[in-house]
Amino acid sequence: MRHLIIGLALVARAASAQMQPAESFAGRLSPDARVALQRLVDSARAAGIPAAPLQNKIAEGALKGADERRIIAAVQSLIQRLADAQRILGPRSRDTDGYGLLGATASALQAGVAPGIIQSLVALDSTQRSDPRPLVGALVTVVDLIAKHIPASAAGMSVADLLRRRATEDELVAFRADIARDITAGATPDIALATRMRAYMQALDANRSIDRRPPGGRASPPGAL
Amino acid sequence: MRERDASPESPMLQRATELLREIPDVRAEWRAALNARIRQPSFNVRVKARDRSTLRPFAAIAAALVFAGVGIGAALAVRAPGQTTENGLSRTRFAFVAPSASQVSIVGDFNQWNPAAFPLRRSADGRTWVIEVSLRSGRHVYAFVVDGKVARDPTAAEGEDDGLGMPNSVVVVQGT
Amino acid sequence: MTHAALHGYHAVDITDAELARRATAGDAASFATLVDRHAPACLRFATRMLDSPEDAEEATQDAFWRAHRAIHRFDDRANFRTWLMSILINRCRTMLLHRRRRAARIVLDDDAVRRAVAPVSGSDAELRGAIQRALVRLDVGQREAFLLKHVELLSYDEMSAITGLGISALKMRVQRACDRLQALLEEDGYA
Repeated sequence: MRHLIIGLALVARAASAQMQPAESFAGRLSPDARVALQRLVDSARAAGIPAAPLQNKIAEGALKGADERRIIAAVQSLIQRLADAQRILGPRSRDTDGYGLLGATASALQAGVAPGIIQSLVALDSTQRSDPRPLVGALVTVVDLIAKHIPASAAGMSVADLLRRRATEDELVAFRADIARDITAGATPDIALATRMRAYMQALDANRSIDRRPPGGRASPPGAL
Repeated sequence: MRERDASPESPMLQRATELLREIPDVRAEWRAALNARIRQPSFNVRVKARDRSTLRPFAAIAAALVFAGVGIGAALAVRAPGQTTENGLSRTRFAFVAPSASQVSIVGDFNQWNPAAFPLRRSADGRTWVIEVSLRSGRHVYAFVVDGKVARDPTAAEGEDDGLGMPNSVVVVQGT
Repeated sequence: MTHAALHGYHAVDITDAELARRATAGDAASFATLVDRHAPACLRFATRMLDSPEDAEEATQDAFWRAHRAIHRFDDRANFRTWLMSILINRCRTMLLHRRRRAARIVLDDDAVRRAVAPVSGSDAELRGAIQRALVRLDVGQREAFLLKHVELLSYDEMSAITGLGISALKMRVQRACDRLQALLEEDGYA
């Protein structure tokens, strides 16, 4: 990563960079930080990485009152993740990024999902459908499971199993909600995952509706997702 | 491309880390309790090494402070079904329960994290703050700002931790 | 079986793997030696992770009990300490989740609850308190990674085997933890 950042900095010096701080972060950051961040954004853009996610990250950091060094580190890290995501997605990263697929992939890499697992998810989706939204939903689900302390490999493989069975985005939303509810009710993350995976895979294999009752058979409260 | 190995760089943090490495005493009562539990043949009965029946005071005080200072929050992002504008956007409804808040807004990648851009309005029940936002299909990252404090949507998917503080909430908008 | 009999007396050059093999065969003294060897470090990790000696004792006792029940599944070609730590980490995570469940309806900002800042005098006792206060303000994943790396002194390969995360992700968590701890110590008056 250090080599990539040095490379980008050299590109920034060579290029005629436009020093136009984005309105979203002007005034919240010091002049030095704004210059450094603008150089990073310009360098990344020159390297084919979209600027919008970077500008959003800067604005997010400024809003949260993060230390400027952390904002710079977060943007550097995001540049690296977006570059990695572009390599993993290949041509799909440009075709479909209106749906946030590039950001979802970068997010999964940041959360610790191995590139090989992401590649298998991409391969599963490519062979089955052209709409990228199930793949986006799958990546969002993996990151959410990791946030709930499910190991990255287990999260990735479970979601791959659901994607292989053509789970829809609504089913992935329900899956996330069911696991969250089970953990809140006291289940450990690994038990919650195992229990719900059994139910969802059986239902998807049988092409029938999914029993979303909590373990023990109590009905979900009305209005639950 | 090698990543640099993370080490505590400052002398103060190095010293603090050395202090963390100090080995605690293993109490004889704890050891005896473990032995007793291992001797039990086939069922899991935790043998307590000391009485833990009273609530630890700090936990109660901390909960009260947070409750008073921040208020209760619960949120729901509900897609308004079947509504798509001409630009391929979908109306998505967000709600946040914060009866004691003075102002709530939503920030995210759809408004450059600007807390002034999308204020929520208080609904008729007086407790819930709501807004409908036109969003493109796909993944969006967001958070709420409640009286100046950034808050996650506890019912939404959680985003990754990238060192900027609380991880964000994530919604995938379907559209048509 | 008496309490004394469950304190094993074995030569220190018997490996963990050999002790585990003997424990699998029913030798209680061998398991007792494994407890003697690993309990201090396990208690240390759990105490730093949970910020409560009581909870740490409970989590560690649970971990050893589960290890005892599962010792027949331990592959003695593997690293016993890594195996035991993965059990302990799960117990600690469960305990933290139960704490979170009690506060599930409260929206938290990680600065919303502030502890009083102790006056800086440079003593180890005060620094000990400051670093523990800073540790509990870390995200759970960062706290875990920092403790495994810099307190338990595990390698990244071992940490990856315990947590299931990739090495790059672990390095990132450790770095962010160091940065955040440094910042928190500075806030507390320690430069």
